[in-house]
Amino acid sequence: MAIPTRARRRSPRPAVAQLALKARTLPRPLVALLAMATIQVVAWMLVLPPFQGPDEDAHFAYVQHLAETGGRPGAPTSGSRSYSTEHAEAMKWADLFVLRGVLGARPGWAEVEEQRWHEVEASLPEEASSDSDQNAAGNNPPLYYALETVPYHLAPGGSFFNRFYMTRVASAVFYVAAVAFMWLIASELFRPLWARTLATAIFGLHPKFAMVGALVNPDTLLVLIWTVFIYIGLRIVRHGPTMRRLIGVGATAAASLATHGRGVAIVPALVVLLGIAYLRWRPPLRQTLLVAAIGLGIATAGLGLAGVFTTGVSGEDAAYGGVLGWVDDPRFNIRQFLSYVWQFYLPKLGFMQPSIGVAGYGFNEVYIQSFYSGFSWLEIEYPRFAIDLLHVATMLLLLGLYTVAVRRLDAVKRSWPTTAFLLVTGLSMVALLHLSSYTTMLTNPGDPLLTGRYLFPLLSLLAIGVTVVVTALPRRISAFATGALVSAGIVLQLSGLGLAFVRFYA
Amino acid sequence: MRSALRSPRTLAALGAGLGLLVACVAWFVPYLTRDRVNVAGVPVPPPFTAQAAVRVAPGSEACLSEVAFDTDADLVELSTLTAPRARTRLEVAAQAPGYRETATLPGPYEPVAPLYFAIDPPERSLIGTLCIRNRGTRRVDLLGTSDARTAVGRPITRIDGVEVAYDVSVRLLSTDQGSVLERLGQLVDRAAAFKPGLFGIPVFLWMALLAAAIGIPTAAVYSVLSSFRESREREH
Repeated sequence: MAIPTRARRRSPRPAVAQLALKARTLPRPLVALLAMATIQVVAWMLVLPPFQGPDEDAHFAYVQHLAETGGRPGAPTSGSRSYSTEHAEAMKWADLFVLRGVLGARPGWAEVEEQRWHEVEASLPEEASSDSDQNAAGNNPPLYYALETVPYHLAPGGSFFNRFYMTRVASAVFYVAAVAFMWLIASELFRPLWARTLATAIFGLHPKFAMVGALVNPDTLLVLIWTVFIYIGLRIVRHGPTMRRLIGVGATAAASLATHGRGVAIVPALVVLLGIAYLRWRPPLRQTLLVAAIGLGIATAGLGLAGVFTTGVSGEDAAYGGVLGWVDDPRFNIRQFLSYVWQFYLPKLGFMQPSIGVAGYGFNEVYIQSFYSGFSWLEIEYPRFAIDLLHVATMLLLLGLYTVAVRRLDAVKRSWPTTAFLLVTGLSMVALLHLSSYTTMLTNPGDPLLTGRYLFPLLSLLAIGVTVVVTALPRRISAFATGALVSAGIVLQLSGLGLAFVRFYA
Repeated sequence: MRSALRSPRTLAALGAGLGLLVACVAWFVPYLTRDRVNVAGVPVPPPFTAQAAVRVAPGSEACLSEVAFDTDADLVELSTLTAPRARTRLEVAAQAPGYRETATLPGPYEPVAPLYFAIDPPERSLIGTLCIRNRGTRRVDLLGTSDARTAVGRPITRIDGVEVAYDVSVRLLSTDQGSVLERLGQLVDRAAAFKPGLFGIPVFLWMALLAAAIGIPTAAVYSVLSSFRESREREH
């Protein structure tokens, strides 16, 4: 009996050979960019001490609680222990509590501290890994954390820092996958190989996204999901809706909803995408209803999953309480909101009241400073000249996009489904961020709850924008600009890593 | 020669090369070769939001528990908040099992200016107590912290054995100062601490650093140059 069974089992060799053959057919620029992204994210993982990214301590505590107990941690107001005993002891002996955002602090590196930690770890009882009760990220939907429980349990040796770094590795995989999907988006939109390469390089070399990719943080998965959503969305508007694409776009929307409160911004983008697909491809009524049912149905299932797992979908302490609070907030004032949005981007007009919130916190702080810079817990900054140069470059990009749109108005009109889909997707996230920021500031004007990192799901749009402008330049100038832009990305990436390395260990 | 310069691939290489050259000359090399203070450990960092005064009366002693003394901790740095006064004298004592070092510095002290107490570091890193005794006849207020960001570390401050709300801000420094490039080995060893398995092996960290410094630019520039080559091949 054993012989036929063995004979039926397929040898893995042909599959491996097929995979190797497929890998060999990958374009060389893509392979190089994926290698670059992997090196970057590993370097960031090693340079940043544990819990030295935005809320990384809370996100890991969520993963640990879920992995150890099978349930989500409580909302921030529901208890007193935000970390397990094991987590708190590890932070104590590695000097990680005070390190968060404090430039003058250093992590523990003395041999004796590490030895003492090993002694403490060996003496901890089993329940020391599972005795946290509340969590600052406790309202977040569960998808990212549920996925992270897999590497948490797979960590070899089982030591605390083994489990921690394994969860970082899993996040890094999401980051590299996002770079690969950016290539697919670029391949969909740009014919020349160098333009695809440029778009992917802009995306992959973004220094702060690479840093976030190395951390335990659901933002990385959210970026991957939005990049996949934009790719499938482009396939739908450009080639028509198929069953696979609709399931794909519905699944990404559901995943976005089940990953983060900010992921809810995908719903308007999905609705508009389905609308564009209908207008562009005019499927018969029955098929249209099926299309809408598939896309929206899967997304609603994601919403339901997040709502059931957390403390509901709306209201305080709920999965989307932070981002949808404006819906039922009686203090919401549309005139004040519009005035705030205007003053966020443009100077105050004479008839306007001063904006709500922190004075001077606007476009530069969110779209430039904390978008490119502000590593770790925001305390590591590029020098002023670099921020100023990035501001100038962003202004040039906007000017360039305007010029291209005006000069190639016919082409823009012809490709209206693509343009409209990308614009609406971007606006959907930006509008949600402003609405949630405004609502938060109604309660606490000192906390705008809006930082550059929140824009990362739209990073592919930035890469597309840059590439559109560069491809519109005369051939030789565009070639030179491509090289110069990639070198700027390399410089930003290496200097970000260098600044972080010196900040923590010098 | 002229036709080579016209090729998009050459122009892209020129753009990338110029950008990297300018960054190396104007930013990277000065940054990496500048001498820096060598921090050997920070038991309690300076306050993040508001300064707090840890009052030490004449004859009293403020002690921080569970301070790690590394093998390069040559100086204890702390600050006072009181106006310069005569007849002030502070003594610092670093002690751990099998290790005791003291250093004294007479006043007057400039407020907030750092005071340095020279000690001999232990031969191997130790965890012990750092005490600051007021040997003068006037009260001295030490710079301390009580904010939620910086007063949450391992050391606890006690004055004459009684725990106080504020922690004394203290840094340990090494006299072996130098640039980042000169001390790269030390920085890599520090980065390896508390990392598990492969990640905690300095050789692996060295490889990762080299891969970042060389691999990132090489892979990024190669991707662009090969894309222009493949674009040309496809056109032909």
